[in-house]
Amino acid sequence: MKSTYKFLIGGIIILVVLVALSIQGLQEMTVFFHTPEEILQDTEAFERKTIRIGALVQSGSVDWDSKNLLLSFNITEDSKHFIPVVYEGVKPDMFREGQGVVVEGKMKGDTFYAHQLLVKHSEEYKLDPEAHKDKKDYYKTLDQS
Amino acid sequence: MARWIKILEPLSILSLIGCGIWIFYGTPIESEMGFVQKIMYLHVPSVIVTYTAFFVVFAFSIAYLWKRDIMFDQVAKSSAEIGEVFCALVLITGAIWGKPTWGTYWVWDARLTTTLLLFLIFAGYFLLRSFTKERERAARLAAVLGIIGFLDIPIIHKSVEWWRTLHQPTTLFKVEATGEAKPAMPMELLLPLLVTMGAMLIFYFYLLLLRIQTEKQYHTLQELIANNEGG
Amino acid sequence: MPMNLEYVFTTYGIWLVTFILYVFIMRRKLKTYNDALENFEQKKT
Repeated sequence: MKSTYKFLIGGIIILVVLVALSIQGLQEMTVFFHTPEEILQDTEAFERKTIRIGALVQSGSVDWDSKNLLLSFNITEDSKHFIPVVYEGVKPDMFREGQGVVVEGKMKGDTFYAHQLLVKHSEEYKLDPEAHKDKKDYYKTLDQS
Repeated sequence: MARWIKILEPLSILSLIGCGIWIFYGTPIESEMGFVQKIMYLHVPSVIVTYTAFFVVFAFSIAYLWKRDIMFDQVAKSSAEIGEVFCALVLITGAIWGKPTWGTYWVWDARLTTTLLLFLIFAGYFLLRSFTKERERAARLAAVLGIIGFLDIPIIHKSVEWWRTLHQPTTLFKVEATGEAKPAMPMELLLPLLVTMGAMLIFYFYLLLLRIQTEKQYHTLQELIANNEGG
Repeated sequence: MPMNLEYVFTTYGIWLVTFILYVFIMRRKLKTYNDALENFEQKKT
């Protein structure tokens, strides 16, 4: 009888821990990133916390210092709320102006210091008409790039 | 069935080889991602096969619970095994594709997490089968888990709309503001993708028949051995 | 634009090797079972 209770209590504890963990995991999963607007509406709540922000890179705001590996740019989603981002590290190949990005790091004052920079890819695939003028260029692009 | 296997084997292998040649020699380079976009022709059809395989598990699990015919269980089990292999390949090809495009192999966003969950549910499916000694009981429990596991697929599919994810929305067709569905990529990229999907589905049916045949022969053999020992 | 050849060939390589192995193993299993069943039949007669 006693051991049945022990198993029951043990089972309940494990279940509670699992549920708690999955709720936390689900929360992190469902809010994978915040928008600049959410951050700017409540700056104090996000201060000094490690967070992710997802937005577009503002055109003309990118400054890449290849010597010190410092990349700075502004992000926005609605062209009304802007956050300056500073990222130290190698510039990703796919990083472009107007591109969607997800940055992970901390707000310090007005600036977001990112330790991770992820590039979002849009669901659209495109062809460059200039690069494929005639069929032979398929191979050419393979050789050149 | 053996005849169908004989037909589908060369058919699927030849069509896959044909797709490979088309992908690497006849399909233009995408302008944003470059050459690495070729992974799409492997990743997306593998997703389609994973969905199909687990749908077959779902349908035949229901059929088994309803009719209790062991044949249905054999189909469900075979399809689950192939689906699990494809699901693993979806995760692997996705991770390798993620590194040069996103800058990371893995993130815990909704798309990736729910796909991993699908893989784990079906890993549990096979653990359950191996732990349950009695054939009927194993089939019954597995059928229930197979049905529940399949329900994750609509969640995976909708995850990119319901939640904020790093993963891009579903690729094939994009609904315009006017409500019109338009292909999200030029025909030169879409056509080889669709054809590769077809080829990979043929390959799936070949694998499924081969696997079912193996399962059946194994089953017959076991019964023969059991009868021989008994008699 | 970077080529990233290694990523593309790794994915296609992993995919191919997986199914070459899978088909090989499954065909060998099927052959073993078929042969065993045939043996049973022959013993009976």
